[in-house]
Amino acid sequence: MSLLFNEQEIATDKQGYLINFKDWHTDLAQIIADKDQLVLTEQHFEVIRFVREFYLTYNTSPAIRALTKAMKAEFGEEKSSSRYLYRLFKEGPAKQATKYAGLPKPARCI
Amino acid sequence: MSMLHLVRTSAFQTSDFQQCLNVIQANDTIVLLDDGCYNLSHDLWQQALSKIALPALYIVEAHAQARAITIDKEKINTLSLDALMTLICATEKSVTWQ
Amino acid sequence: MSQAKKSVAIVNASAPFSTANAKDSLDVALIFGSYEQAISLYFQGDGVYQLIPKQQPEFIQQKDFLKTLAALTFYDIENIYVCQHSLTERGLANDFSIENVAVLNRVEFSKSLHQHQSILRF
Repeated sequence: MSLLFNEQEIATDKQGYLINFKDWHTDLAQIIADKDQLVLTEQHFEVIRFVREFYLTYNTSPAIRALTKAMKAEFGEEKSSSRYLYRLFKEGPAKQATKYAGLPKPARCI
Repeated sequence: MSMLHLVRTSAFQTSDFQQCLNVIQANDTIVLLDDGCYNLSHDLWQQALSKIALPALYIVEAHAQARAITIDKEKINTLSLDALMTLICATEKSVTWQ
Repeated sequence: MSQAKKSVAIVNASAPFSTANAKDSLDVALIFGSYEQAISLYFQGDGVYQLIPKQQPEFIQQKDFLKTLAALTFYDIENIYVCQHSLTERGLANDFSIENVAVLNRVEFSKSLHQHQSILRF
């Protein structure tokens, strides 16, 4: 499986996650999201960038609880509640945001 | 609150048993099983005897017999596999050293 | 006491890279954390080598899972204890890759560990 981006083939797994997180680019996020028929807004991007930063710092994709707790410190209560995040990413914020951020799916499923 | 320590490795090979003795408390119980049975002839067993009263020191008899380990009743009590199961089920807290 | 009764302790007793124990242990801890189950981490014996700063596992083609230790706080894992005796034995200073680690002497370490009902050792 692969995506076409800037005339380059980017390898993905069956579910659309990038094989190599280093292939990611901000503009690639929307192309990945196209497959889910989702138009990314700045609110989505706040989460996507945060998740990517988390991965680069801690070498793991955050599960939902860790994500909300870590985001709370940076964005405050309102923008880190799981309700808010689920409204943005209906299939599950940790699962979906990591995909658009070019990261592996969180191993610990939720 | 007493704790059951299940020792499964030989102190001649690993430091598991030494670490067990480092955290053990006077009213805990020790069971030697599998290769842990070899600890009966290790110097550390004297440390075990000095920390824990004899009635709370056990070796699984079948595991000792399988290894031709001579059991000195002054140093340890024997436990059948059934009795081991009963002991584990009756224990609220346990840790396996392996 | 009733709170301590239900809690689970993980004892890390292996050095980080030559077996999968340390990585497995961390995975288990994060799963407990994700499900809001209280868990305490203990480092004893060669397990203390997991906390040494500036390790570079990429030199031996391993993923740097030790970086994940710094994220434990986001999983509500805040009770982290290290055995002073094990550090001394290995000539290690109380200098760790993560913050908020409590170094306990042998008696305190034993006492703290005895508060837990379930102990998983890796």
